[in-house]
Amino acid sequence: MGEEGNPNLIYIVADLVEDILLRLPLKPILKFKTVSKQWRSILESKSFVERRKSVQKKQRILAVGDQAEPRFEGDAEIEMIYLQSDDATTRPSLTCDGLVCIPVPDWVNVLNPSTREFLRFPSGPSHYGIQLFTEYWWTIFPGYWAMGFGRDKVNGTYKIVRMLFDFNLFEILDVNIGEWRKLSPPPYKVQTTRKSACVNGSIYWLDSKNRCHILALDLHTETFRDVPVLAPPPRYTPLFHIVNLEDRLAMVDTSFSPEWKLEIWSMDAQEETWTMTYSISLSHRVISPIYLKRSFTPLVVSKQGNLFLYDSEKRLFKYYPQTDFLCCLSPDICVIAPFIENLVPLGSQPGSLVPKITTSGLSYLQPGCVPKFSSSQRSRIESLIPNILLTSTLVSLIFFGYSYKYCT
Amino acid sequence: MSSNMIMLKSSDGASFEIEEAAARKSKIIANMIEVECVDEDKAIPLQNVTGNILALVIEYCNKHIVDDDDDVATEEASEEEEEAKKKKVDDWEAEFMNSMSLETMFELLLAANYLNIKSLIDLVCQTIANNIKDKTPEEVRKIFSIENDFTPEEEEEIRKENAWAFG
Repeated sequence: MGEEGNPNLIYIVADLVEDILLRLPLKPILKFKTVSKQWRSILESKSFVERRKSVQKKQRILAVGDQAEPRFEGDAEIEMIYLQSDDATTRPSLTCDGLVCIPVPDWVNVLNPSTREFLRFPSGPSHYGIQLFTEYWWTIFPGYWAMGFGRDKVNGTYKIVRMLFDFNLFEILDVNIGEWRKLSPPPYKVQTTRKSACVNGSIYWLDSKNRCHILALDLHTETFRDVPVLAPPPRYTPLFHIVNLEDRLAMVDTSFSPEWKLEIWSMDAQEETWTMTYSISLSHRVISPIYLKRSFTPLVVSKQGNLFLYDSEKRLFKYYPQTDFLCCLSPDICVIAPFIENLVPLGSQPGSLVPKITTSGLSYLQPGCVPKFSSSQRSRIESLIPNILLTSTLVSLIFFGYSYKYCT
Repeated sequence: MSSNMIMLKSSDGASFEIEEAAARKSKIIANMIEVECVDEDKAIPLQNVTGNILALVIEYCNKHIVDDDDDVATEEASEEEEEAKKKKVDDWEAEFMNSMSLETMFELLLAANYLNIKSLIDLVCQTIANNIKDKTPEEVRKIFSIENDFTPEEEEEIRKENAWAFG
């Protein structure tokens, strides 16, 4: 024993190097890409990116703000990551795996806040000549497209989907290639005024006629399928919506009788049954003059089993299921989505049509021009954001918040 | 478990006596014991580990076997006691690693890898990571004896892509 031939030393060493690098903070990881070709290929390898995602200790939430002056600093269970955003807090965004997709007029932006890589894709001309009627609780993407963003589970690539039913346009774009391709039409129309949710390699939309159907698109095969919802969760208000909660499709709504309650239902992985996972009493706990205009979005469940959620009035809550205790963590915060650090390089495939931009901030990008950052500009911006992340054009449900104010 | 003692022999011929329970922290040695290729009076030869490193490995294993025993003894330890105990172990580990040069850490890492002691691999990797996190790429190359195989243009390109991390 002991004499087991000569173990492949180089292999073992590279393996151990990966083990060491995995435990570094984010900045040195990016910096050490310049050490050698071997280190760069380790740090950009799929296995490293995946392992890194799985070693993250605390759950994280992405919000709009300044990391140096956080609205809420986080606690023992949650870490807050802030994205600076000056102007476009009114834009709805889609997120998946720590990447943020923000459709803006003429462009669809995809941003990796961890690496600060940023890609954008021309979205072509608007098809409607006029402004359409909208309701305050709707999520409207530019051009009135129904949008989706998610990860192809098989290839690990990220894809954007858009559908415009009035014009029979159904398209998909692989972020690494950067070209809109046609999809075969879906079997029925979906609600274009609500966000989709990406879970486990498929994007889900609610059907347009409230027939309790859910349309799913498998991002690998790029085929639609109907998810018949047997015994669907009850819907009480026009604000009910779907989200990805802990890698399950979840449906969220509030009921009013006998008391004001938040209900969260989760679908099983076989897409067959729904189970009520949370029923949280809101009466006497959350002050809201107009219940009907208040929507809640669950974010993450901490390792301790507590649920973080936020509402359309920019409040961040934590719910302790064991003691049925709900507390408000921050009364005024623009939450974007759950967040994980994702080191996936964007647009790095050979043959990519899109030039990669590494940026200090989205808000400096004007439609139609490729941004050029001078070094002085960059350092100026960076000095504003000491620790992390970008300035950006964001954000999701703030839409609710703003439009709510206009309506009342 | 009885406190069977077994002998380990380093590549440079030094012999160490260690409790079997402690030695079992190494999956490799545990396997050897399982398949009974350990002769009571013969030392297990460890070709890839020198005496000074093996001494460190044994110190680590002894320390952690004591902790495991404690766990059994005080099953109903309160959360606070658990925490205090964990802190004690953390402090011990910090002290243990603190006295080591980077070179020793690398040798210890290779030994832990060879002997397959997962928790020691984790500890050493984390310590090395903490040690290099504020170093420049050039310093890191020196530490790992890596030659820079990028052209200056290639290196500049990657620097540019990740400029904010260099700030």
